[in-house]
Amino acid sequence: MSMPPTNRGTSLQLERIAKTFVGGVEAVAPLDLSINEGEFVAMIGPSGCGKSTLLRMIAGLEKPTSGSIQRIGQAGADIAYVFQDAHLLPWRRVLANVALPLELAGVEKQERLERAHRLLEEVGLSGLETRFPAQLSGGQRMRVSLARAMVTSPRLLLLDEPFAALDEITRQQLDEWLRQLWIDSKATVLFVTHSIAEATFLADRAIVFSTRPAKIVTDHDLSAHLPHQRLADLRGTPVFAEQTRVLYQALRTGDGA
Amino acid sequence: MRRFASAIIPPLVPFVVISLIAELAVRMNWVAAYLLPKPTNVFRSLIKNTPEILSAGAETAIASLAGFAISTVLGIGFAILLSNGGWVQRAFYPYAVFFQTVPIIAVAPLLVIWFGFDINAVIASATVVSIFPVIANTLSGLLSTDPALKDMFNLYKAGRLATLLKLRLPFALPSILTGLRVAAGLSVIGAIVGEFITGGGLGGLIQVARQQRQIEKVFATLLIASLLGIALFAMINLVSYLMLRHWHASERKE
Repeated sequence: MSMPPTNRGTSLQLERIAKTFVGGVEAVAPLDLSINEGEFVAMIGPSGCGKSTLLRMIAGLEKPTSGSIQRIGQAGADIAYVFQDAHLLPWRRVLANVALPLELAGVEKQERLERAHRLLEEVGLSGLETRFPAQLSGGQRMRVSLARAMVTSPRLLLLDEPFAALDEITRQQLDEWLRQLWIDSKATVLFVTHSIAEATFLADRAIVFSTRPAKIVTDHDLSAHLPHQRLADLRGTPVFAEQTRVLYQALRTGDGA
Repeated sequence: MRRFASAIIPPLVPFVVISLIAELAVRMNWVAAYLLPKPTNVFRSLIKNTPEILSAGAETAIASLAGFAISTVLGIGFAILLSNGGWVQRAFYPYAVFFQTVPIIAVAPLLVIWFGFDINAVIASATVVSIFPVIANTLSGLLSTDPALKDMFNLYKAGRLATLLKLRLPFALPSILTGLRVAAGLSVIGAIVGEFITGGGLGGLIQVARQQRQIEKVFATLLIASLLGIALFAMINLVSYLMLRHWHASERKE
């Protein structure tokens, strides 16, 4: 990735953050969390545990019922959010979809198309610029979605189970690509998933949440055990298996088992 | 060409068959000729009165298209206002429904008083009848924007206008086109009802022919009126295909 060298990650400070929905469903219990600049954090928890709500609050898409979120090193629209499905605009061609965030920020046409081109090259979709989303495979659509997220060179990248609907091979390819992208971009990444293997492979730090309302069960440092550069064959190593076991146990604890 | 033929020929088959049955029914005296004209006589009347019917048809076509265009612009605009929700929607939506429930036959004479005994009243009638489906369908399209995409536009701090133009309207386009498809046919009906009062166009021609008991001419004129409605409908279908073929399931053919 060729991110501008000035691009640094955001750090986050969450204090006593909680969310109760209208109707009384408590999604997130008051919790404290601090995320360091440039960290890759995976958030794991059972389905419906409130981890997505937490991510939405960090993005500013949802207001917390109480508590505060501080973002440091954040200027304007420096957040990118990737949804569970690609959520492209179906009436726009691939290139115009990737360029959309720049278009909304008022970047001039020539420049935004150039940057969108570059991103598409990096996600391996060169030559598909003029396709419509309906003409792409699920994996290709997700790559376009990631390219769109990265086109603004965000300092904070939030991903909400982005690869959950993809087949295993595509998913592993995208995991590898995302890890490399993070290494090159120095952005802060929060990745919500319910796959332990994916969390282990991707993140430097894994936070395991309990069932609803979300509480932190374990905050585990993966970078102490796993290499910085990670390739597909890491998945077969004993140290990888050991780390997934640790997280699996934490997840079981949080599930009340 | 083959596709065109496959679209045209099948609907012609029932038309020909029913015409043959009607012809037979009248010739065999199963049905009195003053109730149902012989299709051959209708055809003869159509040939004989071609210039008159065509010029009346052109007048009706212009009025229908004008009414349809006004419905499109006002209907979409009104729906955008309503879609912002809150008290605007609560205050004005009942009046949108009024356009659907108003008995046009009863209101047409009023329109003539307001707009005069000319094409303006006919255009007004076409508009009144055809605007509701545009409002209702546009509104439902605007209110069903994908919430994740709305979140994304919020995240990138898109303004209201940018969100409307780049997200909500394109997202609503399939619904809008459904509304326009219904409105196209209704605008012809509205125009003809208006012409019953003003005496112009196909409506006026039908009225006169009926009073003179020229039932073949009534049928010949009706035939052209239906063709006009079908032509408008086909026009919207073409526009819909051109606008949606790349991305919407309704127009994508593999």
